[in-house]
Amino acid sequence: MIAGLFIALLLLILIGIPVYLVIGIICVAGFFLIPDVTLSLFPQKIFATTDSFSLLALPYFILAGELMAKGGMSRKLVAFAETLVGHLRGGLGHASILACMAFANITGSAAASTSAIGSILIEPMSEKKYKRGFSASILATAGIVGSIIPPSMVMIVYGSMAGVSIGGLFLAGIIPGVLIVIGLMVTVYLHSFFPSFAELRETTIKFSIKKVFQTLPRVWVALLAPVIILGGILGGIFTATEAGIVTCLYSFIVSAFIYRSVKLRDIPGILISAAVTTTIVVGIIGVAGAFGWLLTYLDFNESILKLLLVFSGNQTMTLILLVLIMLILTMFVESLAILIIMIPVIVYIGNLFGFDPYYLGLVVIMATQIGATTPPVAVVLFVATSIAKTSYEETLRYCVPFILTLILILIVIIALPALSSWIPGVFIK
Amino acid sequence: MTAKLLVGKCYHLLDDLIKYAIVIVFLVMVLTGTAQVFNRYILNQSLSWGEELQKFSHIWLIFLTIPLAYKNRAHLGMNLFYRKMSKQSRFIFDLIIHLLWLAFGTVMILITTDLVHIGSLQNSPGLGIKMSWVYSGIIIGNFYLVLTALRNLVSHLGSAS
Repeated sequence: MIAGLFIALLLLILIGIPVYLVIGIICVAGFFLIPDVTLSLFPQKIFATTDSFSLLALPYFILAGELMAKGGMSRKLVAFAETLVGHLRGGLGHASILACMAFANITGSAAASTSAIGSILIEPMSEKKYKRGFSASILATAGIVGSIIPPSMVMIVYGSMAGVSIGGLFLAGIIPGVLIVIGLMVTVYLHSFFPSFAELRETTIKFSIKKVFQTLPRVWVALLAPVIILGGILGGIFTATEAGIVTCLYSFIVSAFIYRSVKLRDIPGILISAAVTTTIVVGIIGVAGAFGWLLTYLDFNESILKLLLVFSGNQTMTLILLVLIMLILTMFVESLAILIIMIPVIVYIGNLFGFDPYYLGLVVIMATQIGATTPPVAVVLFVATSIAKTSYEETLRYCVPFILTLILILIVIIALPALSSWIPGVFIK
Repeated sequence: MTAKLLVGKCYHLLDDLIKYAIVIVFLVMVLTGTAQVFNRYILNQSLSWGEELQKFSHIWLIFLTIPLAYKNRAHLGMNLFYRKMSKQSRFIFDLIIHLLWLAFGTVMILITTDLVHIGSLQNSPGLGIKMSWVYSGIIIGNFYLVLTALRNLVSHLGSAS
């Protein structure tokens, strides 16, 4: 029964039925077919899952991102990143990685970072003879920091469903996020030593500290947003939801009164667009919460545990297996759906083996994000490929070193738990 | 012909109405959240009802927006196979999806009605309102979902001829 429901779910998502609808239908079938369970429990479980204060961080951060994006912030961030690293070998590649990192501070999603920064930088990169597939690979993998650097939509989802402090997860992402940025920049740099990447060795921009300070006033508001969010959470002043509200107000004041890029009549459109983005995610969380209840009722957690115990009895092996399962599943099926469905199982196993909740959360989130960027089914790669106006095959030729870099960083983060658990351990009681 | 026009106008009106509702509900959330932060940090007192009002508005927001996202084809899904399908199989595939939305919305209305009945006997601890008010957002949203699915079905079948 459980295996049947689970396989049906994966298959229906794979053939292209919207994820919300798939989980909803499977739930109706499940709640109807299982004896002693009534159908009216289904909406009740949806309600119970979405009736969460920490989940409210999601609409607030999404709204803040929409307000900032309206002001053309991504273009300004790209210009700033170029003045910082444009003079290095593969300068535009580094600039796109840094810009993705800065943009991640206000958007919180991998696909959003990739498309916002990519739509600006792809053409300049192509003018400098960067191979389009290579540019697409950089942007897709750099987009991942959107989910690791706070605020992160995926972390809000994970935290509110797993009952882990979202602020703590945000803090856990700081060091790994910086590591990813450094790792990807090193990968770009190393490419420049290969004969076939001569274009990376041509540098035209000269670094000047004067120029950095000239462009800084245009971006300081965006760079200050994470200071408010992290400062508030680090200082124990805000919860993540309150940080979301404050970021909303901050973005509104900045874009309405300082940049004057948002007019009063733009507000309804911005709210609708933020509502749609929120709903796409929270709708799935609602039905997946009900599905998770069903799985727990059918002892799915126990079955997964038994399966894991066949291969391993200790902490490390269990985590590695869990990461492999998540990586493989997200390589084929939409990653957010997989994460949401698997969260109850992950929490169950995490408690049993006594993992640090922030370490476990971060490792699992990073695995799903890498899976989402890894072929055959790689949503972020699709996004980057279409922005780069190249073919998927062309992108696949260049993406391997970047994905290997991400996997290497994931291994380092798994091997050294302090990288993710140290900061939240100090600041979150 | 005039009947068709009238139905079209009604749908248009309904869409606008729902959009206004979404904007208002979202504003209520943000303003309540702001008031709550202001009260806690400036006035040093907490709003007993603030948290519930935001959570319940959020649930209304989600169910009102699900049909809108469906109308805009914004729901998360994989298009790997869809892109490789012929025109004819795409037509059938889309038809099935519209029918599934229609069926799902209908079932949701039917099963949530029970919940609303139960909710009329419960009061929320913070706001003190009947929980049926909260649950009815699920019904209204799904009612709009069914109407949206019907319109999509009709226009989809119309595109065939």
